[in-house]
Amino acid sequence: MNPDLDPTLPGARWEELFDELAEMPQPVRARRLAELEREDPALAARLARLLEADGDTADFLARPAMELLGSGEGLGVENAAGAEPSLPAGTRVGSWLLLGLLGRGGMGEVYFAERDEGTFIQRAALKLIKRGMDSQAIVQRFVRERQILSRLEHPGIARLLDGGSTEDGRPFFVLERVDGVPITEYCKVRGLGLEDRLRLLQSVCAAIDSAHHRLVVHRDLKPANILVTADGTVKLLDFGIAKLLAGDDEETAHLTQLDARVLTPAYAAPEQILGEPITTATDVYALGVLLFELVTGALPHARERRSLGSLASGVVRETVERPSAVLRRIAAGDAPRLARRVAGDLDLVALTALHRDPARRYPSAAALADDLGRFLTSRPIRARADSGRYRLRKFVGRNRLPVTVAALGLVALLAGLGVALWQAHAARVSAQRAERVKSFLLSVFRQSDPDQSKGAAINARELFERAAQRIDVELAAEPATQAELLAAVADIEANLGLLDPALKAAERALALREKLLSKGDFQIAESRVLLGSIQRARGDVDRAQKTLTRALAEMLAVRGPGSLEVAQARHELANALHRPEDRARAVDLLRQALATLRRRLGDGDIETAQALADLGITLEQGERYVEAEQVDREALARLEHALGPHHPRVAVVQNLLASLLDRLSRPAEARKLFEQAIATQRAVLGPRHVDLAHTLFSYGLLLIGRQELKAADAALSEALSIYGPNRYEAAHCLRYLGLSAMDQERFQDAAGLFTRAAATYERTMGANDAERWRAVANLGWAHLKLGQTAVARQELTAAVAQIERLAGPEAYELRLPLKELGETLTNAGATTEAIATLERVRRLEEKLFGTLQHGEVASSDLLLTRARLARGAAGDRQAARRSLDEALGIFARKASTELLYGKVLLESGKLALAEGNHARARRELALAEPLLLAHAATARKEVREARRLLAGGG
Amino acid sequence: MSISDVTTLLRAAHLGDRGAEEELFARLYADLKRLARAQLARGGRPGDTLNTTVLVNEAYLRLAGGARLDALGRAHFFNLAARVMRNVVVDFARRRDADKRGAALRISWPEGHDPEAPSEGSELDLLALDNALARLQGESPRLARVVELRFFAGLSLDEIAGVLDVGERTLKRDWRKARAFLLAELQNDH
Repeated sequence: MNPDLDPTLPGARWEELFDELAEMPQPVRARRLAELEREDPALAARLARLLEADGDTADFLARPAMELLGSGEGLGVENAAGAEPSLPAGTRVGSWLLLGLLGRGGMGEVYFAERDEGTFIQRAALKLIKRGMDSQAIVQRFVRERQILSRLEHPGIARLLDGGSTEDGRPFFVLERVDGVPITEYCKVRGLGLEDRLRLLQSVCAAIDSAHHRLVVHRDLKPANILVTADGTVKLLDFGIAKLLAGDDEETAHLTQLDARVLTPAYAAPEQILGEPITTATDVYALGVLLFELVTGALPHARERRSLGSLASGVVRETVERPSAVLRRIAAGDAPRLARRVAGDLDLVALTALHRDPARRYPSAAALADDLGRFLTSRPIRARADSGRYRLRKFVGRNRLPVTVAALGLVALLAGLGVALWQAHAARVSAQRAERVKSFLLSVFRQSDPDQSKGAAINARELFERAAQRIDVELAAEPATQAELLAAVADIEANLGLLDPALKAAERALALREKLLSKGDFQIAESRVLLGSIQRARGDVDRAQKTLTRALAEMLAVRGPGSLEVAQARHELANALHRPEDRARAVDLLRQALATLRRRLGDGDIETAQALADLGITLEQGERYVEAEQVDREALARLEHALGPHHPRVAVVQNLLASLLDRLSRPAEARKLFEQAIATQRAVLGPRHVDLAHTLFSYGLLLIGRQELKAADAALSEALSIYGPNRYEAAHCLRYLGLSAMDQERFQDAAGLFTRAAATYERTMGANDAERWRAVANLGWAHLKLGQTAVARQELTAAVAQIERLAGPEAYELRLPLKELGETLTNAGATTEAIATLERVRRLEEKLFGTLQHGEVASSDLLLTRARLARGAAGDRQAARRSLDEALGIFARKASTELLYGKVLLESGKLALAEGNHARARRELALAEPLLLAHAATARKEVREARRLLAGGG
Repeated sequence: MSISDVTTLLRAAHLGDRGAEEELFARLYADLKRLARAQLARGGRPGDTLNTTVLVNEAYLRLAGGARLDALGRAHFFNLAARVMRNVVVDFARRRDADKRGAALRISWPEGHDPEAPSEGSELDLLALDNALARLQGESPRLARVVELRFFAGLSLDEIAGVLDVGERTLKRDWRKARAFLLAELQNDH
């Protein structure tokens, strides 16, 4: 207990605890704080804050206050003029005659000096280290400044004339004497107009650029260091804290570090204040401040001169207003006219130079000068052109959410996307517009309240509807920003699966840009890729194909074949190529895209993995399964490595591979992957995301194949509800739900589902879609099973004709409808037609399967037998017997337990009875009965028939 | 100011005479300000030739002359001198800021910045610190006093221990707490 503590004072509450905590090792301290938190949260928070500050106090108040006042400058202290010089006038230093003291600083003095050159007297400034200040460090600094100056020879930089040591060994150097005033002062006093001011600034840029060429960064550019002489010549001064970009040896490196702390807040670039690396862009920033000041008379930001810490935190938050906006506010004298002149291009020039990110500023002072020149001569400025920097990956993975945050809620998700987008955009549009885009997006996100959202998608939709309205209203006067935002919103919406509004926004963005920009502009191509990718995601593949083909051509022209943008356009186009005959082209496009992506982004990149996965899909569609599996597995491994096992992108590829494995009849492996993918998607994307629907659908197919029909129905129904009624995929769901209902002999339900499926296909894909006719064929089948033979015959005949027209006479898709048509025709009594149809099926199957030794052929044999027996023409019974015997041969060799074998045995037994071969009939019926019984659920009728025949005929 | 005056005033102030204290303060302020200004003008940077401690000690010697103040009187003097120095420094800072705002020109010559004397880019806002110190005074006058003695009057911890009559360990802890408090305050108020 500290006896000095007065318990009545507020400090007593924390002081003692602070002493205690301050001396604890970190983990103990954290525990103690946590305890305290429970007792008195406010006090605990206060202590945490104090302890945190305690960790930062290294230099804080380490030196007495008086020292912080620095030199007497501004303190009413005698000025240099009145100060006692250490060397009196008349002293000789080298060949120079000192005429008087001009100024002094912490370590040196500057004298007015002259030298007799014979023909003329040269006047100059002589800089000398103060007596007693010649410590090694200071001498080093001094020598370094001299060194730097000796590198610089430019009419815009005060020239180094001489250097040496005084008699008592103090180093000195002599500089060209500049009779001038600070540039801002010069402009003001002379009342220079905008054009003259800018031309003056161009000279400053030229001088700085020459220093940069010699790898010198000034680091302290400000009006006081940029003098203009009476004849209008610009001279840069004070390279005292300049930095050598190369050749700084270790000894001087620490000096540079010390210097890094010396800065002028108003002109310092953010990286200086934040202690980040200094480059030539640091000077470009200061030139931007100067431009802003010369144009508007004001500084671009109000930086309060407090501690470095508060400056730093301010810099992180600060935004720069457009110079024209500042001028507009002045609204007096020349300002409004000037505002109009400055608005647009010059705004953009200033904001580009003042970009927070050094990499996004003008690449050099010369580039800034160049744009000033373009402005002065009314040519288009370069800041408008795309920087050529690679945008953040954006298109690929459309509809496959590129979020890395899990379960952080909608706001975090959107904010993350927004920031990524902002960065992407900032890379190629003006800082100002990027800033507008960012702040607009953030204001949209702020409106969302995750607690009130009924589901991410719903809430997001509302959010973006509001955003779209606001873009219309608030940005009507800024079409370029409008286009920017529409593109950003389209992108986010598409990523959230809100494809209809995304389409609308993307169309508008493209239209605006086509109107605003000249043909062949990168942004037009970019908007077109975006539009095409959304069209594709919506299933409008034909239009997407056209859009993307055009976009790819544009992109190739703007960016060249090896560019990432072209790789992305190729990737998108490949994904839009859906016709079987286009598959080879899609594979080619993807391989080209992959080659670029691998080279530019590396093998481990997500985008590379995504292209790989898409290649896997295309190969699978082309039935190149072995290659497809290999590619899928590679993509999966890479994505898992890059993103961890529970990322939505990983889930997408798990779904792909699982579907492939299901198709390859490896259901156990497939099921595991499906389950993993579904779990991830539910957790990360929420219950309404379209990616979840995709996986649920594929999983449903696997379950149907495994005859787990209830589970299949659940998965497919959930997928259906996510898709909603207007998506192509919804029709798939309906159709497979119908097929499941058929397997469950819920024929009426199935007919209803097939009807809806056909209508949905027609609505989303048009009347001529092959899938639609497959659904119609399925409907015919349901009607066949329901005994509605006439309707069934009509539907199946139409379906077969259309499928044949669309897919050719030997298409695999024809097989089942033809078979069902054959059965229907038999039932309708059109037995001859039935036999012809079924014989065609048999030939088709022989061709498709490459053999007649196939279960499916056996089922055709069975149908053919029934048709023949139904017709009962001459030779039909013999032909039927041959067909049945062939079918029996197929099963016998396999020792089959299939239902179909049971049915064939039943049919053969019946025929044997008719043939009078009772022994054979009894044997085959006895074999059939247990087989049929094993499939009693779907073969009740046949079981009863077999039992009746066994009981009666046997 | 005569020696006896100072001694008397100090005694009176110590006994709670506010008038005497104000009188002392005014005299010390004038003296210290003059000393400080002269010192700043001489070297630009006080650290070179004369540090703040010397300044205060000089003031002490001049005020107290050859008279030996008793321990209590001495302690009181330094407490007071520290407060005075705080005022001197803050007034300087305030005036400098005002001058800077008004100043259109500065000596524009190739001038080396002294790395140890942050001038324009001064990392510490003395005015903000002064406000924070006022808040510390409200919470813990003892800690505020340590800051005045250490930071404004430039006394060493040893000297402060003598003035405040506390152990070195306690003093070190207090100094640590005070700095943490002030830094936290400065970081808070942007």
